[in-house]
Amino acid sequence: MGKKGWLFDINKCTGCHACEVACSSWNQTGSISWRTIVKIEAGSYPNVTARNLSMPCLHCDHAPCMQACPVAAISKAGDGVVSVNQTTCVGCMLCFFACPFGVPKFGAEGKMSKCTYCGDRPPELPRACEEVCPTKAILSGDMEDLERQAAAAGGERVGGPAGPALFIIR
Amino acid sequence: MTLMSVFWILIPLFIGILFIGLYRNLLVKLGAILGASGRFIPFQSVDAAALGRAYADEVVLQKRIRLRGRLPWTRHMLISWGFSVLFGFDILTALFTKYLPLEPFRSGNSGWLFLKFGLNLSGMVLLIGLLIALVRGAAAGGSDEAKFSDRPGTIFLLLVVVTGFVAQGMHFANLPPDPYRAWALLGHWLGEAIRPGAPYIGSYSFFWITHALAASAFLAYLGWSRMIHVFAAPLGRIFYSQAALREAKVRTVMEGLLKPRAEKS
Repeated sequence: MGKKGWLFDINKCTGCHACEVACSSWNQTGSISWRTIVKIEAGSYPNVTARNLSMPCLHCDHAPCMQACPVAAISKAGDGVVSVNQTTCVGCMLCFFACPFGVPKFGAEGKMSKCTYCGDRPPELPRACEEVCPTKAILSGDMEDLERQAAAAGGERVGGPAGPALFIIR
Repeated sequence: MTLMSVFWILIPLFIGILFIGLYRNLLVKLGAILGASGRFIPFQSVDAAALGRAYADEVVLQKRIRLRGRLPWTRHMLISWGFSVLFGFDILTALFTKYLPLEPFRSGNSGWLFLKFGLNLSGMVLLIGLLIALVRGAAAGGSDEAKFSDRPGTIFLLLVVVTGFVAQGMHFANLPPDPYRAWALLGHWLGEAIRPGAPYIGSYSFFWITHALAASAFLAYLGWSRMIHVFAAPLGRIFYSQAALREAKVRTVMEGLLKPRAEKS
């Protein structure tokens, strides 16, 4: 089974939040959003830039959230997808603090939750966020395929000790 | 070797297991988190008001559980506050009746009655919370609500509380009647109910040792089970109250992601 991951093209993202809405709608996340769109502004007038980054869980190779959980509620499946067991989770938020990207979200009911890589979605379909992205800035799939596509477009895998499963085209 | 000496050997052992559990399952993880993200936390910008609000809402009043309904909130409040106050009274009782014995805390005196009243009232509060939790857990079986149930922890704590009340009742049943002992509430009522069958010397010892060992083992269990949330959840919720720090951490990482690798080095 191939490891799953993401390819994100920063140049294509317009920050429209469609991915965030699709994720919330498909996964019924209620008041929280498993995707975070961050707008980064740089430079000074008149030479300013604004770029958007749409961040789901990056299903890291060495997921710090999993290592930080005191009750072993977070696990990594064979396809690399990291998930939170809602029955075991005690909502202590250590996973949020451990995640370099602050991905796990604290729900109103007191449990942590995060992107499941649309685990309940048929594998032949794209992930909900990917499906609705109007500029095709988000791509999901096997890491080997994504690596080839990223290399072809001049992208690279995001580094760091956690090993996030994300290729990025800047 | 007497039962009492076995007990004094096991108590430090269980407390040691608790500390090992807390060290391995919480402190090591907290250390790793702070080591990795400490650079995002400028301590001078801590929002003390938000910290206070988080403590009041999440720890004292547990408002987030209230969002799930009145019954889950009542159950959790009864258990958490019953347990905390009971634990506090346990320490005070050991301190004033065993290690620093003072006249008011001698058996039957006002201080002793106050301790017995506190122990029994908080124990009863805890008992009611545990019974609600058991019934609710059974009723919620198979539903989404079941994920909030911790049946092993509930049963374990129930064993501690019930053996404590039974042991106390048997102890009182073995003593001559004393109207002031009514301050011991459930312990007194149990004692009076079973008094006709006294003496219970052997049974009292059995229940006392069972209670003492179960209570100590429960302390050890705290560090190695979902009950560790007693320590971890308040810590996490209070840290989480610092919105500026949360955002600063994520923003710093995102800005790093936007920079090409060559520029970063």
